[in-house]
Amino acid sequence: MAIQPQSDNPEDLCVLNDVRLFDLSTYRWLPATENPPIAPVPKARYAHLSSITSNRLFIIGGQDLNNVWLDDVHVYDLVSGAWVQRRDYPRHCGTYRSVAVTASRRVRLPREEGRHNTTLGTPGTRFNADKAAAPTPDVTQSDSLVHLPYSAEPTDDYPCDIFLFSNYNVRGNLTLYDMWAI
Amino acid sequence: MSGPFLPPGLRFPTGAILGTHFIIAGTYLSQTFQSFSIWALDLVSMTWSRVDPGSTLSSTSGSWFRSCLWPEANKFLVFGNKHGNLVEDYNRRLLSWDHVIYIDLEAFGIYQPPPLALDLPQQELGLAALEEGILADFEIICDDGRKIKCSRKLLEDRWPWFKEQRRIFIQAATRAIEATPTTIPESPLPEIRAASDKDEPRPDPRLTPRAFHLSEPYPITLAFLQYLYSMSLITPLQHAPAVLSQLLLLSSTYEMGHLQSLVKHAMHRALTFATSVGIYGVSTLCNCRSLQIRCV
Repeated sequence: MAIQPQSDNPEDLCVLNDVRLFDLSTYRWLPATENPPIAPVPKARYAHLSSITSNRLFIIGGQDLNNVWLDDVHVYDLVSGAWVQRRDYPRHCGTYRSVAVTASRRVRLPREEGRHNTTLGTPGTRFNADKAAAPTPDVTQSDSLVHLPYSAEPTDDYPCDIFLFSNYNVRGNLTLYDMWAI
Repeated sequence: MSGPFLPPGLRFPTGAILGTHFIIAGTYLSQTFQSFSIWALDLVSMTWSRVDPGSTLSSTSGSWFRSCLWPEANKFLVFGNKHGNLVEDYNRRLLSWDHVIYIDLEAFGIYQPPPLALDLPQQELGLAALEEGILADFEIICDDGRKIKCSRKLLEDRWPWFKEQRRIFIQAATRAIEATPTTIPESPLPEIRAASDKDEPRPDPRLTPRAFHLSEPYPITLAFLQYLYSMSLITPLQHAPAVLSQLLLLSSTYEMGHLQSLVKHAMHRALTFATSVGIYGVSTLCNCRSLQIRCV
């Protein structure tokens, strides 16, 4: 939300729908880009949620100048500089009681992901040049190994999800909440 | 979602994800208590817990509204004004940026786990290399006299202190050799060298030691070597509480940051009533404040 650019009256507010980028290496605003005619440009809004993952900016919910809830999600591709997707999102989301978050690295849980190390061979024989030689005694078996969770860059199979959290129906101390991964 | 406590309505929430926790913070206003509240949801067990920094963020200590995560340090920053009035500023929607509070999330068990140095199959192969005695030209001697075979080259690559000791040893020994006159003509050294040795002078075989006394018991020495070969903590031996404690001390003594981050990670996960006393003791010795605080 901002003050109407053509007005002198600070009470004249307007809502916006543009994306502007500030270059942190040159400390300059980059020029605005034109949207092609068929691009799914979002309706102007305020108090929406946003999050960035996989080089895409997600704009979620918000309200327009008449305070009507906008129940949609728009996706802006930061690499190509264009709006690429629009989806319905049937819940009222706004910054008053909701938040959208993501992380830059994903935690992988090896215990849950299961093992697929069948190429390594039997423990005790992995470095044998002579295939017929006896295996080394007293080696650690693969299934007794302990793998702790670790951080990794997101992949297509294990991306960094956006989590959306809302407090609903705030009455005294009773609240309902929902979380979704986009 | 479950847990003994559930978060109350938080206004204008801000949040972040750190490790496998979802953190949410926002203004909590009730008849009796007003503060900037921080809650965390463990995404693995789906249980909520409150991050309670004492009275620092309650309305008696100023007005605080905006926060952000500093993931590299496992810290949560809160911005506001310690002389402000939380309720009045909320009603006027006034944000202040005069002061910053930081909350050490690792002390609450919320942190980003360390990344892998070697991927999982490479870790297993590394362990196999140790167990099958590959290229074992060196021995580490434990305090009970037992010996473990390993590769000198690998110890030098992955244990900086060891490499430095060897450099000092070679310098001293070379000086000693140069001081004594030679009577036997030296035979030329063979020309084959490892690719990684390009920048270093060829080690003189006469000055290459074959054994090293590490004054640690056999299980600790083995666990330490298992770490050096796999760059991870993967065997049940390494995860035994007494062994973890010793590995933390070794990582502190020899300044091995990666090993220390792995041991702290394992200790956070192994923290129970039974283990808390031991972990508290060793984390105090090694200056791991966040782990120490969590034990309390």
